[in-house]
Amino acid sequence: MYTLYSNTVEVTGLAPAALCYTKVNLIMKIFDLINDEQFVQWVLVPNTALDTYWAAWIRLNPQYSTLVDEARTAILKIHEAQKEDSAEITAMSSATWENIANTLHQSDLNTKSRRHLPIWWAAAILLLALGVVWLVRDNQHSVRPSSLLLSEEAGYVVKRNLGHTSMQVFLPDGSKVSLEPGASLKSKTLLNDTLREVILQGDAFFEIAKDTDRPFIVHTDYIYTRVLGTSFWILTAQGAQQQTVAVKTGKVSVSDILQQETEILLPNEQLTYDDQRRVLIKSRIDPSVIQQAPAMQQIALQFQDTSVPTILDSLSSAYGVKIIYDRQTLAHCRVTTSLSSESLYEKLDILCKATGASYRPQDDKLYVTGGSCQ
Amino acid sequence: MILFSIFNKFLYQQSMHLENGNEELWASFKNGNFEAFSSIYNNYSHDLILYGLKIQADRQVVQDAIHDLFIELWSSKKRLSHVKSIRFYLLKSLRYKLLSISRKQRTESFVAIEQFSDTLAAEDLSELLEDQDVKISKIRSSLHKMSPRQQEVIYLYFYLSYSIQQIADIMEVNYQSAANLLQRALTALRKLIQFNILIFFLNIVRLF
Repeated sequence: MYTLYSNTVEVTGLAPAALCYTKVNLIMKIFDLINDEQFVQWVLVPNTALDTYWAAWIRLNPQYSTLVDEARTAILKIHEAQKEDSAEITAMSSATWENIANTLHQSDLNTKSRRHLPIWWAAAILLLALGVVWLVRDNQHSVRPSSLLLSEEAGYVVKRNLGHTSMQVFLPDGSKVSLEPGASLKSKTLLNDTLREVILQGDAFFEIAKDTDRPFIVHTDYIYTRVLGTSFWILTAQGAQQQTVAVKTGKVSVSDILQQETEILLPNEQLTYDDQRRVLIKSRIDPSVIQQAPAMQQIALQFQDTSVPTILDSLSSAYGVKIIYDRQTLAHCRVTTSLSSESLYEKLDILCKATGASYRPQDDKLYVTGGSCQ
Repeated sequence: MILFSIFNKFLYQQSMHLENGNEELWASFKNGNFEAFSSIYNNYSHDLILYGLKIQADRQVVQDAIHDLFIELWSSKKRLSHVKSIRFYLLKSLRYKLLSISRKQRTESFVAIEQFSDTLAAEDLSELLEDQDVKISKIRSSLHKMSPRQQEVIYLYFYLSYSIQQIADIMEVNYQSAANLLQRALTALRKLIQFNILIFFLNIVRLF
């Protein structure tokens, strides 16, 4: 005798070889049912007509009720097996849609002013549009760049987060932006050789693909943020008319709209622009400001009796910042530590405490001096 | 297990429901409504990607093909006829596109997979010896060993619950060929699963 529980078999008496045969026979019967498209459709799709038919069939053939369950399980499992990693599929879907939207907006722009134009006219119009953008960049003192670029006639893609959680936006160059609820991102769709530009309203976390030939620029109400490849937050405190840029990795250059003042930020530094007082205030990252940002992943590094130069090199590449130190002085220093939840500066504090060295940021680099260990 | 099937039916209800309002959606898109176009993409992109991956394993190629397909749809929207099932139309168009791409490229990987139909790799045997239940992941890896055509048929039959006639239409073969293809795919799958159970029992025999 045997009883079936899903696809396993409980042995209670028959010799294994015979069992084997019976089980195989059962599988053949299951597949007979699976071959019936009406059975499969009944299992997978709600349908009253099929329900009636199969309910009746089962009533007339009660000896097959287990068989039906087995077949149904098999079908549902095969159905489930068709799905691949849904996160990956979703990412592919979004990325492809970005390309579709971009392609359509670009061709829309080309044919917008006049249809059925000879190609060289379309090229001339494109060049003219690019020329306007170029002029705008040169005339920053007389004109507020973001208001000119906000012109509604040009081709734009706008992404707005109307939900309650972060929304991922994939840009054509491979960059990724996490928009917080209520935020919106407007990107120009003119494929520009010299710049990648977006306009941001609200809060977002940026992960920008490195492209040294094309700086990535984020325009917001009060500031203008320029990077080559890096990750950072931009946050707005509405009531106080302030905007903050906080850097996670790489380096970011921030200036006010009129580009009168520019600051360069290193990882774990932030800069707040206050529109009322018209000042740029630079400081270390205030965790409370970025607490709510979900993209906050820590850079965790474990070191087991590792030489300090190696650790400094690791930090340098993890954070994307040049750290300058005297290899000779620190060559003999070895440290065992795990650095995880601290900011870059906190990590350096720990290292310096262990080695007696000190550090200071200057321009866009970090200088580590002193230290000795025997 | 009962809950499992109820849940699946619910999901299916959701996706089938989409097919009902689709005449208005298609008409709206044909008229130039970008939101309708975007809805169509959102509704079917997952199914299209999964389907494309069965036919052609290269993710970039599948994404590019879907991109080109939708660009062409938008450009020629006025010339398109009324469709009964948007999903069916999209799947068929994507299939045509992917096959013409691989015909041009004559990708070697496409041909090589054809040879793997019924063979089981040695790793599977050792894995299966520990595992009585045929888990979904095992089914998935068995499926990946089958030829693209067989995987395609399995997808259309078990995921989208298409009838043999519908499968024949999409794959552009006659009814009998589609039925045979499904048979061969199911036989291959059955052999893989049967083999698993046999190995399990052989192992039990050795214990006695």
